Amino acid sequence: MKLITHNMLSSKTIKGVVYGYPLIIRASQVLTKDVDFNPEFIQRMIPKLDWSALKFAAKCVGHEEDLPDEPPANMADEDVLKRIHHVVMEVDVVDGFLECPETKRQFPITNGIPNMLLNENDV
Amino acid sequence: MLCYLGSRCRQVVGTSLAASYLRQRPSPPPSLILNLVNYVKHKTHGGLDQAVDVGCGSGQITRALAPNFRTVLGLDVSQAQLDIAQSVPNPANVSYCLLKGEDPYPVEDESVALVTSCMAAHWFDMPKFFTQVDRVLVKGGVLALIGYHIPQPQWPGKTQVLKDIMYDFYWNKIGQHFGRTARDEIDLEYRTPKYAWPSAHEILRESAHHTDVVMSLASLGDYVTTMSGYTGYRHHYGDEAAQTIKNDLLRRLLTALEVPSSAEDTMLPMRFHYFASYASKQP
Repeated sequence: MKLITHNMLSSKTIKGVVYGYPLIIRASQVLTKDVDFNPEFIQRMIPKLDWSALKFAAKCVGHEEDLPDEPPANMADEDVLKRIHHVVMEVDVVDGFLECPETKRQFPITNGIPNMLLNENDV
Repeated sequence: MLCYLGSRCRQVVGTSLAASYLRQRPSPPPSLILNLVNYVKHKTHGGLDQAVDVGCGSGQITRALAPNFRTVLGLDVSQAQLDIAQSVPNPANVSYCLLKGEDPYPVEDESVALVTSCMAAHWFDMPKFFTQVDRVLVKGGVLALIGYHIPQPQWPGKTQVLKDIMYDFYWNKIGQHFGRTARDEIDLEYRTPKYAWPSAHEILRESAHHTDVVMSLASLGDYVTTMSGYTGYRHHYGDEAAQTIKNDLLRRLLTALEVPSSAEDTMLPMRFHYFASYASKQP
């Protein structure tokens, strides 16, 4: 599960959960993969990211220092874009859990895929 | 792992079947995707942010949507299918998540421009599915139900007789084992009331798109194993009987073609006729 994926996932739809975002990442295996850097893609992506959730996710997986505290004002700075690309696209949580911040309910991540299957009680 | 529930075989796909899906199931016609994306662009006034592909299987539709949206999320109930979907190169903006089609999607309300489902809706509790679709779509967002008919071998002068053989197999050999409703609903291109999205103002339908693939007859046999009617037949009559009807199909096709080659060596153009019904949420 890449951090770009984590940024969009919420447990808000589970019964009793008011906000459910961001999900806590409890990773047992994190890999770094090579993904082609596409500056335009990253530039388009940045305005749509929840930056504090991204910082939180990066902290969960030990990559907090790689990210600026705020989205970059200068989108032409390729060095900054590359660092963001690395955290958002190349860090992959292979195994672990996502945890709902309210209910503590855990969703396993297996082979990089979050398992958000719900029980009858959850809906 | 396959689950057999009475006469309706709910297919939760295991690893080897998932591999066959990836190998044999077609990718959608670019013309269909283009029409769909243009419709979404028109109805959302240019908003092509997120797309969700429900029942994404090995990811054919998910990947096809990726160039047009900022992010695409593929959902499926089978870990095996998603493992396989991830095992091939995916565009960077594609993500996969394990979830049932009718369970609440883990995304915010009104955050999705397009929800697609290809050859999967017949497995869903449609009212629950529609509830999710209504929740996640932006104003003007689009729901598209997509499917395709059984592959039709194309051969000069023989297309009709080959089609007859395919449909004889489909209707008369394995037809009963889909569970009657699922097969009919696909044959009728999801036009039955069950699939009519209550929130839709107008429903558009397209049937003119197709994907052409060249397959060996042996690969067609592999394709047949991914059909839930075949799985149902196998559960009912056993592996050997199922192999027999599959080999019988291939033998009949070979005979009709009048070629000396074997099933492995006989390459046949196959046409998958696609259909889609799509509609937008009220603005």
